[in-house]
Amino acid sequence: MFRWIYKLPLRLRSLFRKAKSDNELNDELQFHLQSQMQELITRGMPPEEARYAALRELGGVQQIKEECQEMRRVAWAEHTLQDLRFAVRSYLKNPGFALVVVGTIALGIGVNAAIFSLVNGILLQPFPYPDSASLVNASYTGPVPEGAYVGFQQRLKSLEIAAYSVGSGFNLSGEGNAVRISGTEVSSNLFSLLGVQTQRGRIFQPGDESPGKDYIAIVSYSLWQTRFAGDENIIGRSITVDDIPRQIVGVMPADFAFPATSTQLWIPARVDASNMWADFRFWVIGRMKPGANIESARAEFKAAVPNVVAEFPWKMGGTYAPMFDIGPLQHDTVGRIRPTLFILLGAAVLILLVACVNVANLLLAKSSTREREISIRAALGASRKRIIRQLLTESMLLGITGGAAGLVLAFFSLNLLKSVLPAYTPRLAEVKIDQYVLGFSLLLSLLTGLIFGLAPALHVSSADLEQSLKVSVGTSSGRKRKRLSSILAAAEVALAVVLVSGAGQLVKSLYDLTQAQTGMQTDHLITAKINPASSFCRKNNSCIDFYSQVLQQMRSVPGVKVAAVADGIPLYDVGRSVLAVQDRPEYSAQNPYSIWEYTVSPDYLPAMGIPLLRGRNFDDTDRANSAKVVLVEKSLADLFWPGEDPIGKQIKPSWMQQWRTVIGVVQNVRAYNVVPDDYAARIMGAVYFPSSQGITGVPQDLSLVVCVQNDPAELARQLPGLVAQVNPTVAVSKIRTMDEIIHLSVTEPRSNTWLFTAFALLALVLGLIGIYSVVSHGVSQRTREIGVRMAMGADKWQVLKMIVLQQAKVIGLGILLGTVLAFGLTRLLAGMLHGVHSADPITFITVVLLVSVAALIATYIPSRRATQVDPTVALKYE
Amino acid sequence: MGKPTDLIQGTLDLLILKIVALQPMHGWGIAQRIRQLSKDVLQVNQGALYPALHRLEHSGWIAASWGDSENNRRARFYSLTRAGAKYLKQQQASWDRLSVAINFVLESTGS
Repeated sequence: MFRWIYKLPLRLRSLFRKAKSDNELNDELQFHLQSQMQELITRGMPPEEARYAALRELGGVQQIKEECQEMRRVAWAEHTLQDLRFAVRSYLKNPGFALVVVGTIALGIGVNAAIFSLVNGILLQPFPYPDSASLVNASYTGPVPEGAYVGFQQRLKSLEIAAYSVGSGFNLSGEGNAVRISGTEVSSNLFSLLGVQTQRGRIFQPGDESPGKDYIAIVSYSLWQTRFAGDENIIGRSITVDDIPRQIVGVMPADFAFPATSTQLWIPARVDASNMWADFRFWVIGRMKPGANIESARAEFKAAVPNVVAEFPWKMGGTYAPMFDIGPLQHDTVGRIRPTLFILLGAAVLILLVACVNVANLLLAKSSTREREISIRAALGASRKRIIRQLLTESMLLGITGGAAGLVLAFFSLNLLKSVLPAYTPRLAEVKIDQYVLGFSLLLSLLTGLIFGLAPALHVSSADLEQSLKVSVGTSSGRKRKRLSSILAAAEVALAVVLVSGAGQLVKSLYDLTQAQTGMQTDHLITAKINPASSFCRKNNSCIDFYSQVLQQMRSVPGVKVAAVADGIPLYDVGRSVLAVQDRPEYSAQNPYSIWEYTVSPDYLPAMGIPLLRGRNFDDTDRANSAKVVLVEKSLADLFWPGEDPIGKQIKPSWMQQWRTVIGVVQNVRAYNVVPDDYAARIMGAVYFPSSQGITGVPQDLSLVVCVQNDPAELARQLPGLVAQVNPTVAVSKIRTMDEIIHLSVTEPRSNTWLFTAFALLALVLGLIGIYSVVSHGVSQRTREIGVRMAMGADKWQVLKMIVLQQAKVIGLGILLGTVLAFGLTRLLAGMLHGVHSADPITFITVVLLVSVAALIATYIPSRRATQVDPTVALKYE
Repeated sequence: MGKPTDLIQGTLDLLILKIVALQPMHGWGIAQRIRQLSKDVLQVNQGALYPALHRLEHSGWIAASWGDSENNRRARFYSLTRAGAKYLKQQQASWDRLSVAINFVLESTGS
């Protein structure tokens, strides 16, 4: 019974350790020879002669060895081949059945292969940089000031570090209107640290960042192709970036995507020694030098932190220094999508399970018709083991065929899958079906074949053979089979409930997000980014005149109601700041409170339709030199001054000296639907500053918001031209209606919801097919019984009721089981996916109802067929 | 002593299983013991013995392990597995049936 315990290691050994087992054979034969010689010598033969005699008796040693080696393989290979041939023949005889099974498996494996190719390409495959394991992320606290970067650079011995600026845009001007492109300033060693080369030209070298020599740029492949039409002479060409001419020295390969897939331009980051603490400007990455490991590098890094933080010209909070850390760059880069991928993989595995159960049930149903064949084989001397093996070979063949078909499915659906995922998903371009995905799918196919083949194989081989040689109706094996297939059907229902309720929660959460009160009037609202170059703003009175000209221009357009500028758009790019409240030690400058921060022009509130609840709005009397004023959101007013009048209270950004007076309270506005990771989740409200007294320096990244009477699309078309009339060197980008921004703000929950819903539907359909096939097979097996009942006077309704009620028990069990499982899983889901709330009873009830009704329909259709049988025909059946 | 009889295909397996059922034994010993027990009638062809041993081992009926022989040399000892014991019982029963049946046939033709 447990022969495989002995056999398996032997097989593996002869497969993988041929040399060793050959040696053992040698030793064994040697021993035989010597024993034989000894025996002959004892009988009085001279040693030399005894040796020859022994050799003669043994026969050709080499031949024996070969025969022994043959013995190890021959039997199982031959049997497998025989089984395979038989399996192929029997499937060809019944192609419909094989097609359904292969199709079901293909769906299951296909989904898994596709999702695994994401997991593989994004999480498992090393970054496409040489020795990528030694790359680390050193930006656990977010960006650091230039001074801190320099401080670390001087202190770290086991780590070389490089920096890139906080993701920013540049105005690319020259021919025609300026365009806004996405780019980043990088330290001159960033490319060499990553170990990448350009496709054309050169990478940055040490010294490139020194003032005067740094008027150079490297462009991305896509920018080269689109903006410069793939110009052969791109190297050396001059471009104007933010009004500064730069020479292109390199073009990166198409697959280079650091720091983001959207990055189109890299320029050297100039570190101004006299102004190193102006801004938290640099993200820091590093490469461990040979001999260092992550522990030693971390120890050194952490030891350096207190010294570097002590150099800050202002005092950081006590929690700041301990937050510094380093971690593997790859792990941290793809960290955000990891839970999503694992959940998707989990869902895919559930689908595969449903598919397995489905096929197991189909095989089980088919096995009833095969019982006689099997019995005859057994009677002719096939052992139980041999029969199980034959059946498993058949199911493995189905598994592999289905797996191959699934891979084809995955291959064609991969691009669809990629397009459903957010475009900013890291490494998405690297995802492909490679040898790892192939291996995974093969393994999965074999495993699948084993799983769905095992139950029917064990069932058939244990059947009472004598019984099945007689009549199959009503035998004990028939009952056992029915019970097993009912259990499988219940399992299918349970799995379907799990997936559908998961999808239900996601749909509900997404619906809640899109329906949530934003606090704004979002229709007829259009937004755009207006980006003058920073040099332009430095020269022109901080661009204040420019922006007021743009606003005037907008107001002159017929149909425009209100126009305003702001430094951030709700649900899109709201900035964060820290606040101190006067006379409130718990929100003091030492212990500042995080807030959303908007710097806006006076018409911002009416343009966005945000109601002013108390006090007054900003107006033209609020000037740079007049009393400093702010507006606060209602939630903040309630938090800071519960039960008091907030008007006249004093607050300020915690790093500033001058207090500012609250002049009004406005309606709460939803800042984000999915709060960015690096933002504190406990931010409870926003503060508005008038743009004339702005807290940011040169405003070069303002958004225009315009409320129109009619179709916003009309203005969207005119916008670039209108701004160009004011100043053609200013780039206009990201022209969107507020509704589009709301749509964008749920990109991630929406893509999760889409994928999960598709998976759930797949599982549900597979489950329904399963129930349908179980019931229709069960009914056809019972045709005779039904005939008897109807002949005895039962009417159609009674028969129908009987069958449906029996199946309803199975469905009920499955739903109960599924709901319990789903309850646990939904909590997990809520913890791991952004924007998902935990279990919502209404969704659960809806899901249960949906699955029940669908399952009952799948039961009803085949049941009804049974009742339409003519009793006389039914009695002749069999 | 007549010429040793060649073994019928398949009977060698039975004999080997029977011998190692008595006690674990190495290949040479098995051959010797078969000869002894059959009173020199059955001569095991050495060239067939080892392939048979390996086939039985790889079928899981017998297991092999290295040990010291009676003259203190390293030898490969074969012993019966539990599955092998069951198999031996079946084979012995079917052999009994077969030999009885053959006898019936032979006797009836003889009379």
